[in-house]
Amino acid sequence: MTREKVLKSVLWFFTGILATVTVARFLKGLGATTALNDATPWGLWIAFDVMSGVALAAGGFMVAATVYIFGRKEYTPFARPAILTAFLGYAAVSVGLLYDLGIPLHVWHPIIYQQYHSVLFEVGICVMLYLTVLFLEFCPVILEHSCFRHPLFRKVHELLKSFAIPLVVAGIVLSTLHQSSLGSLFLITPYRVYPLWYSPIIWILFLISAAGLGLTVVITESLFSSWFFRHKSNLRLLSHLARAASVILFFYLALRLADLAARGQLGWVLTGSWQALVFVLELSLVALAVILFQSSRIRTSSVGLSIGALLSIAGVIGYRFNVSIVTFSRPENMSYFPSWIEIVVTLGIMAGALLVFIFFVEHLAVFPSESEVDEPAFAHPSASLAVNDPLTMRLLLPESIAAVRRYSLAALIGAALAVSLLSENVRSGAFDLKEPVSPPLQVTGSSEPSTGVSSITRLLAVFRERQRYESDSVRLFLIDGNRNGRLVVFDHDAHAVRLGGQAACATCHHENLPFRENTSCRECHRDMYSQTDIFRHPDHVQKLNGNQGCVRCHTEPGMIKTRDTSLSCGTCHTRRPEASRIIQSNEEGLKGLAPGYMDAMHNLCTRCHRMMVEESPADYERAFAECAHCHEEQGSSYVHDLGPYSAEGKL
Amino acid sequence: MESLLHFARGPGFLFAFAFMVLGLLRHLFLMIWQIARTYIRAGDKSLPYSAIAISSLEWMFPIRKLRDQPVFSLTSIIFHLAVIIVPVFLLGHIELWQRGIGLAWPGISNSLADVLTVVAIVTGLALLLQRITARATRSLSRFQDYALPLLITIPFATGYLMMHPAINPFPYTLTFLTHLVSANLLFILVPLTKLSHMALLPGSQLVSELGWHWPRDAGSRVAASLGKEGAPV
Amino acid sequence: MSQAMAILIDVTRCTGCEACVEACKEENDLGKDLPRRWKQRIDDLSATRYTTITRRPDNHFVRQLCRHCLEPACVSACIVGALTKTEEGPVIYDPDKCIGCRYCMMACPYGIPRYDWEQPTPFVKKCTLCYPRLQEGLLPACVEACPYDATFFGPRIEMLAEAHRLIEAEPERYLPRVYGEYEIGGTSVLYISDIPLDFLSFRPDLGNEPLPQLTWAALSKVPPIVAGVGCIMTGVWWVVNRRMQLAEEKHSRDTKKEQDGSDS
Repeated sequence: MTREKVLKSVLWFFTGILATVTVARFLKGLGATTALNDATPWGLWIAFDVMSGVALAAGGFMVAATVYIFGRKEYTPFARPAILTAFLGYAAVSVGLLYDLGIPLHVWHPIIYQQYHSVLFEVGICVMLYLTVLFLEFCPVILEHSCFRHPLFRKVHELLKSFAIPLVVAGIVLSTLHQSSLGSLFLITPYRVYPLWYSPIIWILFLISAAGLGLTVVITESLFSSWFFRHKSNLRLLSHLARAASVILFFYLALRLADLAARGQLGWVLTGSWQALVFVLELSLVALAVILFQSSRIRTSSVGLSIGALLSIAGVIGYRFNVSIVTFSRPENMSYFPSWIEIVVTLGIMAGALLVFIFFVEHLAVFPSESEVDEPAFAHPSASLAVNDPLTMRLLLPESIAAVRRYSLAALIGAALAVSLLSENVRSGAFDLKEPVSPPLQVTGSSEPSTGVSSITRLLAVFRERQRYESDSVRLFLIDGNRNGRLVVFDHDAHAVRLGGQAACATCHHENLPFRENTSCRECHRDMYSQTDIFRHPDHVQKLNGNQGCVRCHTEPGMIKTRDTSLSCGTCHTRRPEASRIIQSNEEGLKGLAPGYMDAMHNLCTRCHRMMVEESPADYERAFAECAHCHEEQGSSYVHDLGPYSAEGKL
Repeated sequence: MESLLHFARGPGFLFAFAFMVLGLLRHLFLMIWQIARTYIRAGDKSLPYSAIAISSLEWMFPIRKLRDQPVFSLTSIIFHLAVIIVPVFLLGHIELWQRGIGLAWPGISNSLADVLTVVAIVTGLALLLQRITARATRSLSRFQDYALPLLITIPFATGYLMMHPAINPFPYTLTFLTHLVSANLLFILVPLTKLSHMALLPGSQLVSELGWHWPRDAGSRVAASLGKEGAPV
Repeated sequence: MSQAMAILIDVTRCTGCEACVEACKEENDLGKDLPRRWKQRIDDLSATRYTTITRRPDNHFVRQLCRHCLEPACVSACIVGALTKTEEGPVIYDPDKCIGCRYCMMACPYGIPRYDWEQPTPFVKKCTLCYPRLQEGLLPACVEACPYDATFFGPRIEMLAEAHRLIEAEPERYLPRVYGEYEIGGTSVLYISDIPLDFLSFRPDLGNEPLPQLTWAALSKVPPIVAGVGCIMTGVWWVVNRRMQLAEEKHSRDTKKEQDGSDS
């Protein structure tokens, strides 16, 4: 009993998480909830829920073909569970797709807007049709239930049974088409799929690997069911399936390597890149499964079977992942790792599908009735009663009520936990990024700088110009706040001289930190793009004498104590500098918020430069107020030469 | 301290509050489901609906109880009113809801809130005292019956101190943290303890009435689960 | 104007003043660029920036925008035909059809289409070559805004001729190649440049074969597969079923015979 309670509780827990996360996903959109980016438009949901999900559900058509087309009636016990697994697998694929689609309400559009040149169109239509076929194939099992005794249902049942063979043939055709087409999806991306995975026959490889995978999934599912429902598994038949799977998977491996060799791409394995390692790992998983299944002793033990099956599943799913995410080329600094929301959605859908599977098995004749059951009482859990213990005051609850309480509590904990785990950004739908400003590099010296810096043309020019009329040391700032290589060479001293020496400091340095004089820009404008909070609450608490001082700013003690409800800085700090022609003070400044570094600098420098161009066009060309006048694009190589720059690393 | 505060007002509060709301919904759902289930199975389907309605209302608005036990009932009513009004209609809390989900409703003035807070603390302690002194209630009480009234006074006391920082002998953040943690704890306890009566009370009379209409085979089931099938009653 | 039009960009003349970016933003009502997790950098192409200036070392400025391929991979990939190649050249997008599968973003060899990840109902965002303006007989906004004559617009044939003429006139100024003339079947945005522009695509050697053909090679096999697999499976079933029936009949006849034999 416990394995049932534990597993179901865990599954309900994940379903509870899924419920909360679903609300977040559909209210806040993909950007807030996933780690997808412009370089990785397809992530975990496509690679696992859709691509791997379809492949995992390939057991349905494989077993259906074996039993109904090839007439191997001894495999009939696998037919119903395999078709149920396939049906639920495809249902899970469809649900997963709804999460991934940007506009899930338009999911039916391929039916009315046909686009025959798109592989995805073919996949979509095939999956829709196959889901219907699987439903019709499984319908007779549902209609066997005692609540469908009405003659009309019996008629439908008879009708469906008579259509069994055409349905199976249709299922095989549809499966062949879309299992292969999932591979064809990547034919159009020869520039992005790594050469070890790209192949003109990738669709054949996808089909064959899915066929092999389908059989190993049937093995896994059968072993799981026999463990969970305490059936005896038919190891002899399973070992036959394993042998068939190993033949198919061997053929897949051979074809894959032969194709690479024939096109002369096998050399990529020897390059030692991480992709090559992944390739070797992926293929060796499948190869190991093939080798394990050669031994009839391993093949007839349930442990050996499960290890081999899991290895091959990992290998073939790895193939899907590697093609679509892992080795799919993307620019640097645009890496992708699924967000926790993506992961729990995937887990939640799987958990839900598994719960439905268990429900169907418990209530319908999915497994052949003649199979031996270890504990007959377990077949009807609703009939059993909870043991009443008067000492612990346990309620006298029949299992059917206790189960609902137990599993709803598990789902409740999952849902509440997920609510608390949703980050502030997901809840508010905000997308602000933190990008701390890195300090400018100060270059001083009386001669030309070292070789590392010499590629900066403007720096050199300034140095030369200044050396012509000044013999003392030169001080320059290399400003690159977000370190993207677009740096500004800022001649501080020249600006000071031009603006009028010591008296002009405040033209730019409009505010200083307490008891300081030469506060630099980035000490307040600490973030590259977003506002910085420069108000220091602890300092004020100390200064204003602890709890006694709260009312000095939070004048209404009953109101919630926030920045909005308290006095603005200017009420006490009356001697703050006035807004000048260049510096503009804004609302946020009065609340202790400093604008982002980029905005602050652009407002300061560009405003002044533009004014110069406007006021004296004779002295200053139009380019004086353009980006390229100050910003200098540098290759990344020089950054390595400037020690302090690279030492901190890009955030 | 700051990070603890951040946790308690962020993820901690969210978990606790979501757990309370969803947990109460779960209780309601289970109650309705079980009422329906019991009714379907009940041997005798006739129910005194008007009597149930009247006694439910009497439990929800215990005016009549005032006659029987004036002191206890009055304390209890005032306590419940204060405990509901202060957290829900405090201007500061409404402000938080406004920022969080954009909903606001009219609140009570802060001076009234101050009075009600003191009332809540005093009546809560008085209820506890009455429970301890009266023998009948003492013998029926469990641990949670003593712990919950005490726990309820904590957020009220700390809330009062936060409203009046000048008389607060403790550091502000510590007060705030205690306020948050105790309130969160209460939220989590609501669906797990007798506090769930806030959602279950309206249906309790129906449930207890229905409870007498045992399912047809109830007796044999009880016997079966006690392992005394077939034994003479 | 049913003639195929094109933009010609002269990289050597661009000063990186971003007047084109400004004009594009105004024309398409795009708003401010904000730093986002899904962008490489703030001035990357994004849902709020259909064209941008990529800065290369030594003050080279390369404008990036949708290439409007003559045989676009995105158009062939789109599951519902939300992207279409018009006669005039622009590849345009119909948000009413789009289901948000983002296959176009996967397929584009230049990595152009962007997604409005921020929205609960997001759309694909990219340059439209100012298709509405073209229909009114106006120039694309970026072309009109360029103050340094770094961007031209006209019929693709004329633009190609102009590009070759410019290169021949000053061979030392340009690399002897018009980018976009042949790559993956040719594009409607052409570049002449003094630096190699290979960095604009995912792989430097794009080749001249249009990408949709790669898919079509597999996709065209669908009808034969349907017919073939269907026939084979039905055939196998018929044969197997027939055999089993025969075996059964034989079996029952044998047993009958045996029974008859035993009876007699």
